[in-house]
Amino acid sequence: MNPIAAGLAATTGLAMCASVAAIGTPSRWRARVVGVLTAVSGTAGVAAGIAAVTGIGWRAELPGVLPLAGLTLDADALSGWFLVIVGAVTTVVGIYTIGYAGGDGRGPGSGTSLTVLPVFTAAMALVPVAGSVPTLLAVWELMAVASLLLVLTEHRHRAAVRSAGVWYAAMTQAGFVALLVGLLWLAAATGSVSFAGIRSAAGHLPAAVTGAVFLLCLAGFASKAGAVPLHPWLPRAHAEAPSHVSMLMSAAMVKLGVYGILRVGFDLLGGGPRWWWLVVAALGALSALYGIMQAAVAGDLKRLLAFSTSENIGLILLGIGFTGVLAHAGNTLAAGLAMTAVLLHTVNHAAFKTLLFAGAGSVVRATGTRHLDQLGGLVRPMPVTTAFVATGALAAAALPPGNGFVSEWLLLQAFLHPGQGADTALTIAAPLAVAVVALTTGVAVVTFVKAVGTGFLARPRSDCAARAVESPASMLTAMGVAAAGCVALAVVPALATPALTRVLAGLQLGGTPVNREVLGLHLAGTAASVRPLWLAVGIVAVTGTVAVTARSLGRARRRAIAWDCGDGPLTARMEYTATSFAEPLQRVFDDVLAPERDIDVTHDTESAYHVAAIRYHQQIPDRIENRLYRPVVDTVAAVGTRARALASGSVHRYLAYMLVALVVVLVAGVIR
Amino acid sequence: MSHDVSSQLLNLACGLFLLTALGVLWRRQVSALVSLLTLQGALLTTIAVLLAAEHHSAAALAVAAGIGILKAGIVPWMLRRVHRLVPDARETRPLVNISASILAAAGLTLLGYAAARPLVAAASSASGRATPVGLAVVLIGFFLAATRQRAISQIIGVLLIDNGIAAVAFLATGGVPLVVELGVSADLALAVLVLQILTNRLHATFGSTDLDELRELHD
Amino acid sequence: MSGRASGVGVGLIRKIRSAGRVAEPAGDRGERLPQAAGLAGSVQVRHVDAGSCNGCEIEIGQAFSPVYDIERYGVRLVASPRHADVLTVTGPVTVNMASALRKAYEAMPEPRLVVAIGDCAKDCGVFAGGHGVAGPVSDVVPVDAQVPGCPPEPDAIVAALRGLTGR
Repeated sequence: MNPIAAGLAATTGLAMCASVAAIGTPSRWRARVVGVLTAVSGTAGVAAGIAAVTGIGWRAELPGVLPLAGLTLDADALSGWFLVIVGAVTTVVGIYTIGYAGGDGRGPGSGTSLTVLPVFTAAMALVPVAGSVPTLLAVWELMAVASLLLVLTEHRHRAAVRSAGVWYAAMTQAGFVALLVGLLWLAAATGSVSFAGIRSAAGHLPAAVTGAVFLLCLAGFASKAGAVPLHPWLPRAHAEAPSHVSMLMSAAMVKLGVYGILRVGFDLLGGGPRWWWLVVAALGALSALYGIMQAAVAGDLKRLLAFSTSENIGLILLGIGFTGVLAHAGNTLAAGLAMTAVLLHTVNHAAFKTLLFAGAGSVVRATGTRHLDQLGGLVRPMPVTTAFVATGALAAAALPPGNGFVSEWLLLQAFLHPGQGADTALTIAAPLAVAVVALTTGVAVVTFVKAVGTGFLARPRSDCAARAVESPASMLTAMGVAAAGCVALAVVPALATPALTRVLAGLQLGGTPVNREVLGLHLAGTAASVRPLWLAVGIVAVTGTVAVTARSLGRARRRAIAWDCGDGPLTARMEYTATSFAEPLQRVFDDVLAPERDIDVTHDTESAYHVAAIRYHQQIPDRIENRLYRPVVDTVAAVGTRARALASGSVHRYLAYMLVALVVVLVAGVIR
Repeated sequence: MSHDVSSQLLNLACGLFLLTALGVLWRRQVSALVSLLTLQGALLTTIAVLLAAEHHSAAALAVAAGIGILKAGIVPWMLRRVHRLVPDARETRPLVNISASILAAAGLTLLGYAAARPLVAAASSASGRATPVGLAVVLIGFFLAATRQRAISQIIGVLLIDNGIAAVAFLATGGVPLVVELGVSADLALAVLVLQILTNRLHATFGSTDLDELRELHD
Repeated sequence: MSGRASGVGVGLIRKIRSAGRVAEPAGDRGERLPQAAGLAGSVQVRHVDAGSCNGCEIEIGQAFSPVYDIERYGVRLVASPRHADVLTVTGPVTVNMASALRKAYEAMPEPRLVVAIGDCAKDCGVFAGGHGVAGPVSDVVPVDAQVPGCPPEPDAIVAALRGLTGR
């Protein structure tokens, strides 16, 4: 049997077993059973993905499953790549759920939550292998509904969860409508619903139709990916969802938005004119900058990580935009390099974001709070978690020897070597893109130093942080697996090169932009190369040598107190808070961030000159949300309120509405 | 019976079917309405029997008999029971006056004929050409339900709609499968039962069955 | 006629050369301290006011001003005892500042020196016996050099610190 088919069957079958098991099992064993089954299902997905990426194709048609159109599955190298990502994240999440959702069977361990979790992972695994428009739409919506239910898991505990659920539901459905219109229009114009049919017929469509379809699909997929300005659901949903769901959403689901853009833009529509890809690149640049800016000033750990996801998606979209522009100019080698960077970055981001959200989940579980200003001092009670989170943060900050460094280096190389045939637009855009990446990376370093430094190091700033205990072994194992993935991707990224070559060939971006060498990446046609393994070994060796030498050759060491200006002892109140750490950056970007400040002075009852209390409140709003979404939401609410008059309560009026509607439809049918 | 005579009888039955619907719109006495409905049920049965005879189908004859018992027997009996319990005998003050109602019915009939043109064009027999009648009766039933105030008028409107649908089904296909007709009839019986209960409750609560008393179904 | 013109020219050049220079010429150096030899002429100074009336602080401020300009001789003020080689202390050590002074001294990396400036730092001066006074500086931290005076003149402060730098 075809290994891909076997793998996918195992994935969906095990997921269904897990879902059914969650209904039947008593709450004590539920998390364990579902976690194990989900993890095995994820591994099967990875196996299927690897099989797909090695070039074995697979197509299947299941006519009875969906009414009217049936299910069509089509796995090629691009599907395989994203299937590997989804499967790997599912495996880690499955292991993590054993510990995270265990316990009293409420919240993440509740029956509903654990039943829907495998449905979500199975739907995500099916999206990359969907081979026709109805299949894609059906599994996409299934994925959206399942994730919505999971986001609302803790709605009884916090009111913010309900608001997050409403925003998420509205935006995901709006994106789905855009996707629906776009894909159905495409199917109607080409006369076929299967991707194979669309691919062969799309070349003959007029440019206006393909342009409109691309924009609609871009809107739908980019909103799922969390690109600014379609991002307001992302910080809310990812922050309020339980952490294992945040891992799945941030590491796997947003990648499926990227998959969608690649599938529709490059594969189905065959490339398209240059302005499409400039739009994508502009969207990417905006997301990268805005995302990391908001992450840098975020005081909530999970909101920080969510905006960091937005930033990384921005970098990915920037790379995709450049791929498209370079491919359109005929420079397939440079385009291939940019796409290599994009694909590597999707995997790297999935790896380190999984790790970071897992760490955040451990922190929330141990301390009960997500606010960095109340955390701190977790390195002593939770050393393993801190080490893993530091690994993830190193990767997210794109510093060597982390894995984020490799893919961002490749991305910069793609912008710096656009090759021959670079015209004006590219000559202007490439340095701008380099500047965007550089600024983003710099602010990302600040962000993650803040996250790890204020969140984990120094002393606990509150009682809840002081009471933290280390996470159970299953959660640590999950984090360890993700960390091992990050390390492997950091030191030997070249292992992915053959797979990358096949994916590029599938997207008609042939050639091997990155030469195959086990220990390093050497870019074809340039003198640029990087050897991450040597880099990592070198850093560790040099640091170790310096430390040992300093200790042995230096003078006798004396222990002294931390300098406290003479009036100790130092308390946790004197530490940098996350807000204060980010404050210089916030002041530099004051025009962009526009913080809202509120000072409330309560005077003494006896004398207006004496102050009894002062309350200072600062909040950094999401300006794009306020400028763009508030007016729309207010207008819709106003229209809805005025439309209430239609429902007056009279039965006759309702019957009259029905009659009028029927008559109108009949008349319309007659006239046409 | 020769083909010519049976098609003439069919046309007559359909014409009378439409006329009974207009009559329901015209008369205001509830007892008269119930009689007209009984007559309509009988006419529907006649149509069904004529079609069964034309197709020489025993199953269709059985269906026709079932319909006859239901629409000309059971349903009018239930309506008379309701009418006895709830003693207001006249529909008062309809929302659209009688002359305007008749004009509206004429317009709806024209609309029915226009909308059913494709069905008529595809029809092979005389019965197929009579389908617009059923559609017109459906629209008239809807109109009745939307513009009359007493709950019993709503019931009668729904019954008209059902009769019209049954007529369309018979005329367009020349016979309806037993299962479908049974299902529709069960649905109808349930609807009548519910509306009967509704009327009783309305009367018990408000002392009349004026549906405009019900204004709670809003935001 | 040309003599007067050249006289004016030379005077103008002299004025240009001396514009902005107000520093006093270098006086005598104080005695060199052998402990300070390892500092090789670059002395970072942390100042602690252990309870003084601020008279000595004003004179120290003048010592660092452009007129007396102690920075010519390699002395610099720093913000933290962790960065400092020398601790200058003024005032009688009050009860409230005793532990802070001790901590500042212990926070300094070695080699470290202490210079007590003013009569109060030497022997509590006019505040000797006060209820809030713990003792002279030498009671709290070991003192390497002293600058007597109430307050000492900036020249004396400059001379003492020049003894540390050797310049």
